[in-house]
Amino acid sequence: MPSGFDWPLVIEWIPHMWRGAVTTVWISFLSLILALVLGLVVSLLRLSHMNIVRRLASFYVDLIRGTPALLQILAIYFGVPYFGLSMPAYVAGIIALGINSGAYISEMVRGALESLDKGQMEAARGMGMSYSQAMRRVLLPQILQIVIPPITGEYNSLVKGSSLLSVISIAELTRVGQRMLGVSFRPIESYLPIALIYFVINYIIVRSTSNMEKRLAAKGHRV
Amino acid sequence: MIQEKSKLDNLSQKPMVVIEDLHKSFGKLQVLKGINLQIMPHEVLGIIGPSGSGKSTILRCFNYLEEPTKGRILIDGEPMELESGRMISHSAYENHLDYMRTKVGMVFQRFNLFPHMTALENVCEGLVTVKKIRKDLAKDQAVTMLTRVGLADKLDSYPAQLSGGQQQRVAIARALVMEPKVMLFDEVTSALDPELVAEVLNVMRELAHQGMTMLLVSHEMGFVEEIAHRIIFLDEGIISEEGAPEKIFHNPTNERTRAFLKKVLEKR
Repeated sequence: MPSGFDWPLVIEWIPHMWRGAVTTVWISFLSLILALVLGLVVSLLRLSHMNIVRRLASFYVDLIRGTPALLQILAIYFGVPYFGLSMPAYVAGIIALGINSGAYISEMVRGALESLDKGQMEAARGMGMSYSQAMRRVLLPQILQIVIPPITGEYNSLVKGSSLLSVISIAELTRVGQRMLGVSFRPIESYLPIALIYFVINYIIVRSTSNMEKRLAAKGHRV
Repeated sequence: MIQEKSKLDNLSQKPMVVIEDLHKSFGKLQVLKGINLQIMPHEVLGIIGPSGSGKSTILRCFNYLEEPTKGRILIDGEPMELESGRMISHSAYENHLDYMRTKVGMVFQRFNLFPHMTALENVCEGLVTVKKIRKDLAKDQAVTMLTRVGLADKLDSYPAQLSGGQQQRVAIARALVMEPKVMLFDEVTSALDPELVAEVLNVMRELAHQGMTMLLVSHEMGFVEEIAHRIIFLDEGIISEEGAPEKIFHNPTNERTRAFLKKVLEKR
């Protein structure tokens, strides 16, 4: 029988957990940036007038949504060096998470664009704007507020999903927990604090974006 | 009014707008079945007809929000669409359309103002983004235009903070500021509360008196009769009757026109 909660063990590991948490935060943040860029580009490609471009873009989305994230990470990590390109594990991890999340974000952006009144595009084109001017000046600014909540959710998923990167030996939070367990054989002390840290990170993300939403709303951006 | 119309007769010049053999189908549904029209500079043309007759489709094909299935549209002698037959890249085709659309101002039934921009920004947008006019100059022009439609005190209001009538006047200012050669009005008072209709009609009346070439689709029969120089009655995708307002409203020859007018005028 374990004799109660081993506080000294947890305290001893706090510096490692801290470094793991920092790694988790910046890896998931960089993945989010990549995913946002990718998601925006792909959602626009899915509206392309060229059939082949549309098909390729939606194939990307289907492929990503139809396969496990864990296998996508392994595919990038082991697959890319196979073509003679070597990269550090964390780069492979960020790219894999970004590609994964980009597919979901592209769906959010597409959905938001489709939710706008068709008259917006017509009014913009009608005054002589090109398609891309209409997107940039009229449509995209309007979806900003619509996509913030689902993208916040996606960021939360990324933070949690980055725990998968432990399989390619990136020293993020979950990996720290695994190492701690390997040394101490105390699963509760190893994983409970880490679960708590994930929760705190995500809680901070949700709180801060809801403040951002309120500021946007206050600016009168609502229809 | 009478002065206006006689002025028009004297202007035996080139038409501002030529619509040739305009057809539009949506799948199997033929909406326009060969529309031919010439509109002179300063002329106000009223388009009336039963719902589904293709009135709005004429306007939407006019600036290629809907691509015509067949036919040609010329504005001041220039075709809206680059002639096919030559090899034209997609972007050259689109660029030409964008350029031609600046000559056509359109006002929509549901305003379609940009909700994330103030009234002033809505009116500036085309000048800055399309015409590449410097921001401060664009702002001056926009203020002038909003003042003209009676909204000098609403420059910094967002559309959501304006009444329907005010929103529609911003939309008219937004179209006018581009200095179009033709203005299209697509049932612009249909979405308004009755007490707000007059303020929008006043702006349009003013515009007609200043000599703007206008195409007007409207259910406001009294207003159409008052400001249009000529009226076409559209029925099932063809022009079934055409003439001066007095003739169409008081002495229509076509049976369908008579039946339609009887129905709509009774409601008044």
